[in-house]
Amino acid sequence: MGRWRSKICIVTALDFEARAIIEHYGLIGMNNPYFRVYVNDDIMLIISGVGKIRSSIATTYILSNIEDIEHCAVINVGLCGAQDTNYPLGMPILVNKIVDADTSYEYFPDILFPHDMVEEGLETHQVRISIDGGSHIGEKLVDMEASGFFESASTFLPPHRLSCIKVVSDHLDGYIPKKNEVIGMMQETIPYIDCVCRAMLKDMETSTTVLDEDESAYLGKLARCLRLTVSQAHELYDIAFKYKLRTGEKLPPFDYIFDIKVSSKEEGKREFEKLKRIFWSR
Amino acid sequence: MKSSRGYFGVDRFSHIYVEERAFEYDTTAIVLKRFKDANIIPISHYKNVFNRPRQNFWLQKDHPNIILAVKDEPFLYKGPDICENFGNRHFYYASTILNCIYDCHYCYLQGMYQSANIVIFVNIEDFFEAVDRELSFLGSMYLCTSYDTDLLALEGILPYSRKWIEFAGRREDLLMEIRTKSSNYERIRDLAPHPNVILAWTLSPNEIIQAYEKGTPSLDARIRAIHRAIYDGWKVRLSLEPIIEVKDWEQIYISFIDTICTLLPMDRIYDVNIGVFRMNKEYFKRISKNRLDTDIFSYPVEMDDGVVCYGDEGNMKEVVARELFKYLPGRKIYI
Repeated sequence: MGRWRSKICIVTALDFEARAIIEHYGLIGMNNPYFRVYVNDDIMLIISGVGKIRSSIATTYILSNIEDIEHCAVINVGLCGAQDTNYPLGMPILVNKIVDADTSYEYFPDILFPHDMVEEGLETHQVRISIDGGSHIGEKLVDMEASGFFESASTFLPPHRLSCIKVVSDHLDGYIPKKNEVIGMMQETIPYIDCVCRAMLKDMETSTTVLDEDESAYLGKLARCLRLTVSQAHELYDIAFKYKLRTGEKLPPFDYIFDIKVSSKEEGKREFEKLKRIFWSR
Repeated sequence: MKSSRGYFGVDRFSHIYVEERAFEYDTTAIVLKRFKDANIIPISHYKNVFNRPRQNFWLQKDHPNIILAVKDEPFLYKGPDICENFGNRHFYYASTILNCIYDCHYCYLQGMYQSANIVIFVNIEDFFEAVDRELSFLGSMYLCTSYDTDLLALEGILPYSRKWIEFAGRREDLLMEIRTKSSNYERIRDLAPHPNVILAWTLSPNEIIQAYEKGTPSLDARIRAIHRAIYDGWKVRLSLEPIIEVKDWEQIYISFIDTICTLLPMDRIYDVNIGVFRMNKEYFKRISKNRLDTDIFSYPVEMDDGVVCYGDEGNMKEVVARELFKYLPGRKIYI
């Protein structure tokens, strides 16, 4: 189990891509021997370095250290080049398809929330490329991280909890924006990043559970008292889960079990059968 | 270049994924024209989207997208044992569309597929050729075309029921069933009824429809559609399944049978089948673990050769059949 409690993880390649986000959310730098990591209560940001391998490593690192991965989402934010000059510099784009230029693998986030961004497909290359370099570019956008980010993130999270926002920084014409320009572009993108963060948080808040934490702990205690095997403990949890779905009521009280001294697995099994009958009687 | 600007929430079909080879088909053009505001995303193979790991089927169900793809062989599958063959030999089914716009709590598709997105195979003509090949080999065939979807419910998006009916109407040795819960009969009403096409309506009591068949037409709406189809001369089958064990189920189903048999001209019904809720063990396990908005999977069940069923299944069938026998001869009832 991980040690970080953040619900939203943001992965950027460069410090100056991250700066506006750090300031906007009031993220505070934390000591970390491997990466530059910034946090507040809900959000954690990691600076991966340039390239899909680095992005993949940073994404894996941060997600494998998250305490509650079931209630977490991850966003890759960064710069991209656009083939189409109709996309002006500084324009934020929500990526709906990522292609790895080396493997031709395709990745698709599930965009199940409303937003005001243009959506587009993106191709990830190992190196910086330009139109006149003769490279074949299948998608309208190009970057150097997204496929690595997505490959790793999709190991941990479902596709509706993965997102990729890219800001157009050049038109593959060799132009390299200055740091201050990038910081300005990212500042303008903050409302869009915030929209995605809020949509992700809302999804996590509205996700329902049948058995709450206290009830799960209670069932765990029952299982220990009755010396249930792992498979019996799973069965107990399943029966309790179905009882609540079926009746919509709280779990019946089984406190008497805590007074029973179960000295053998056989004795535990007998008590477990009684308990099952009580659950299924309604 | 499309944005989702202007959506209050996220519309159904806000994204349409299109296999590169599907772009050249007329069906693709029809669907893309129908959803002009959708984001169109070219893909190399539909499984890259449809079979992604860890998708949330139920979240997608609220905002389904469309995947347009070209199906490779096989185009036809042997009818599964769990499905009624109505005494027909050479029982096959074809799935030109995967997934359904309705959200029935008990539906097996949510256990079978990783995704709730709707896959439309645009090369329906290849399915037709496959049927012709099999027909020439077998001599006759009983074909179900609306198993892994509700074809008629999607007729407003794509006229596949119409295409199948027109195809089957020209082949005497083919008996075809189109099964639906929709009241979309008007969409195909201009077609002449064909003796080798059966329009099958799945019916449930209103109590079950309201509780467990989200998004489907009411029983009244379905009965009105059936009426029109019968009087237009179609063969109409009633499919009374799945029978669900709920509180007072016996009373609910007896009253339901009486209602439909009173409202419909039963002497003109082609046949009726009855089926109690059953499901593949793995599908049941997956759905019951993840679907938290229904109690349907929380009742006691038994296992029968890898299939989950009610312990009371035999009695449930008998109660419904007994009631049905009051209105229909036994030869028209399949249990």
